[in-house]
Amino acid sequence: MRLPNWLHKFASPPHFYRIAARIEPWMLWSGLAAIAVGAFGGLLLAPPDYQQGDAYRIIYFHVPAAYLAMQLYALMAIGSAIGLIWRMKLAYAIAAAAAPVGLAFTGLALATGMLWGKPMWGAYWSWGDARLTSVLVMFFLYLGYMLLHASLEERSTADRAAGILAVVGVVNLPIIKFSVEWWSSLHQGPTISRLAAPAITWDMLWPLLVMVAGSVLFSMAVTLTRARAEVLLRERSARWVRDAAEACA
Amino acid sequence: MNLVSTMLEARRLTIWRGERRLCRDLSFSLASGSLLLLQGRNGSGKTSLLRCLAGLLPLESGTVELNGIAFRRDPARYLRCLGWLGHKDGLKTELSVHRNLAFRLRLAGLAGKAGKEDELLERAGLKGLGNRAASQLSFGQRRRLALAGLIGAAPPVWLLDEPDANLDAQGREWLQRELNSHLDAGGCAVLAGHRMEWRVCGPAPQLILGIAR
Amino acid sequence: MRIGLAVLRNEFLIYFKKWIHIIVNIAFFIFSTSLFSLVAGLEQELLAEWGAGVIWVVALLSMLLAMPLLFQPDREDGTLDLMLLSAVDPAWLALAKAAANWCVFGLPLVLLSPLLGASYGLEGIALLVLPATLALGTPALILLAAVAAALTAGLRRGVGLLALLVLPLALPILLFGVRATELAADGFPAGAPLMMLGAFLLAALGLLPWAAGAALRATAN
Repeated sequence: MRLPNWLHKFASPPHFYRIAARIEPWMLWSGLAAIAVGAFGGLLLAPPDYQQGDAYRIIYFHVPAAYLAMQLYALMAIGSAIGLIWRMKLAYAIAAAAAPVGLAFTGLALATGMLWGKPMWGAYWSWGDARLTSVLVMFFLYLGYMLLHASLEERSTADRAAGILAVVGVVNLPIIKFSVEWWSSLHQGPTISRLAAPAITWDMLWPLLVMVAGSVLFSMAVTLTRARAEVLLRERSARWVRDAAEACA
Repeated sequence: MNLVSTMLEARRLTIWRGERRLCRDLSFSLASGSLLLLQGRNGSGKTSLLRCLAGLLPLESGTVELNGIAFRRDPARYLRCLGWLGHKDGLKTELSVHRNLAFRLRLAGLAGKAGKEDELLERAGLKGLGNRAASQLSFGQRRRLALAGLIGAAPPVWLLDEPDANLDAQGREWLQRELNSHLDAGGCAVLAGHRMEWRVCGPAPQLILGIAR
Repeated sequence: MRIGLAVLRNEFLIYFKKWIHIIVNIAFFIFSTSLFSLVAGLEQELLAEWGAGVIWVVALLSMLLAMPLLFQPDREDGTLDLMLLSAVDPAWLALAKAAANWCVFGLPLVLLSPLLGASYGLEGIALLVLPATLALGTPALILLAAVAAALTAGLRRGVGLLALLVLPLALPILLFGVRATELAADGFPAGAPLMMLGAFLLAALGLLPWAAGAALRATAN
C-alpha cells in the first residue's frame, strides 16, 4: 500500500511548514473567540440545573478536555502508525508535538472531573467509574510516551520506539475501558448515577458545542505550532531552514 | 579469478548520528573478491556506517543492496548474505566455548556438527578449550572465538569492526590469512579499523571518513 | 523455528547460571506478600478479601523486577546484534526469550500462589482458581513487559521507566485475575473472567511478539 501523492507533497517539511504557518493564526484566534463565546454562554447565559444548581457548569470545561484527551491520543497513535509504516518523518513530528498537548488536556479532564465529582458523588474520585479510571490510564500512557521519547537520545530511535508504545496503547485503551466497566458492574461499591444525558436543553447545549469546537481549533493551533517547532529542530541543517532563518534575520 | 560481479552496492547514503551528519551522498560498490577499508578518526562514523550496511541503523536516505536485494524488500535474504563482527564479541560468557560457537553457527542456519566446531576451534588456536566457559578466555581468545564463528558461518559479505582488537601478532596473521582466503573464494568485506597495515592481494580501496558538515 | 529453539535452550542454560536471580525473585514475592499482612495486622476476614489482590500486585512487581534481564545483557555483550542479523524474524526471538523468562520467573509464582493464598485465608476452590488466573495472566504480562523491555533495553537504568510503561497496560489482566479469585472465594462461578484472561493471553500471543520484535529493531542503534 502506498500513500497518495498529494499527501507526500503535503508531508514535505518546507511545504508543511509554510501551510501550517498560514492556517495557524486563523485556527488560534477563531478557537479563542469560540472559547470566549462558549464560556460566556455556559457560565452566564445558560440556566442553572434544577438538580445540581450551578455546579454542572464545569462540564463546559470538562467535556471539551475529555474529548480532546481522546482525540489527541488518536492523533498521536495514527501519526506514529503512519511513521512506522511509511517512514514519514512529518508524521512522527506531529505525534511528538501532540503528546504534551494531549497530556495537558488529559490533566485538565481529570482535574475538572474530580472537582465535579465532589458535588455529584460526594467524593473527588471513584475507582468504580470506568471513564475516570481509563482517563487516568491514558494520562500515564501519554506520560510514558513522552518520557520514553525524551530518554532515547537518538531522535529517529525515539520516534520509532515511542511510536510502537503509542500503537500498543491505542489497542489497549478500549480493553481497559471495558475491563473497568465490567469490574465496576460486579463491584458492590457506591452506585453512581450520572445526570441523564438527553435532558439537557438547547440553552445548555449550544455553549457546550461552541466550547468543544473552540477547544478543538485551539488545540490544533497549539499542536501545529509545536509541530512546526519540531520540524525546524529536526531539519535544522537543511537548506530551507537556513534560508528561512536568514530571511527572518 | 572468476567473473567479477558487484556484491555490495551503496548509493547516496546520508547518515545522521544525533546532531552530526556523518556522511552525505556517499556511494560505493564492492565486487566479488574485494575489500573496502574504512578509515577515520574516533567518532568519524565507521561503526555507524557498518551498522547502516547491516540494516541495524535505519538509513536516512540512500539505498544499500546486497546481491541486488535491499534490506527493506527482503530482510531474511539480505541478512543471509551478511556476516557481522562488531566491536563487541557477541559471546555469552556464562556458556561454554563450544555452546557459543554452536549457537553462532545455528544463527547462520547451520546445524552444529562436532567435527566442524572442533576444526574451527583448531584453526582459531583454541584447540582443547571447547568445554571451558567463555568467561575464562582472555579477551584475545574471545576475539578469536568470535572470528571463528564468522568464518564457520561463511557468509559472502563480511562486515568487520576493528577485527584485530585484542589480537596478538599471531592472531592478526591468522585473521589476515582467513580474510585473504575469504576474498579469494569470491567473497567481499568491509573492514573498519585504525591500522593501515592490511596487506591484501589485489587493490584495496580505502574510504576515509571525515566529519561532513 | 530451529533458531528459536536454540535461543530457548541458551536462555535456560544462562538463567540456571544466574540462579541467584531466580531465588531473589521468589524470595521477594514471598516476603512482600507477607509484609502486607504483617504491617496491616488485618483480621482474618479482611485478609481473605485482600489476598488475591495483594498476591496479584506483588506477582506483577516481582516479574517487572526481572525484566531488565530479558534484553539488556544481550544488548551489552553484542549477542542481540547477532540475533537480529540472523535471518529469523525478531518476533520469534522475543517470543522464545519471553517464554524462557516466564518459565523461570513466572512459573514459580504460579506454583507458590496456593501456599500464599492459604496463608491469606483463601479456601477451597479459590485456592485452585488463584493459580489458574496467574497461569493465564502472567504469560500475557511477560509479553507486555517484553515490549517495554525491548523499548527500554538501551537505557542504563530503565527499569523504572519500564514499570511505568507496563503498569497502565497491565490493568485489565490484573482486574480480571483478582476478580476471578474473589468470585471463587465468595462461592460464585469464576468461569467468565478466566475465559477473558484466556482471551487476553491469546491476543497477547498473537500481537505482542511482533510489537516486541519491532521494538528490538527500532532500538538497535
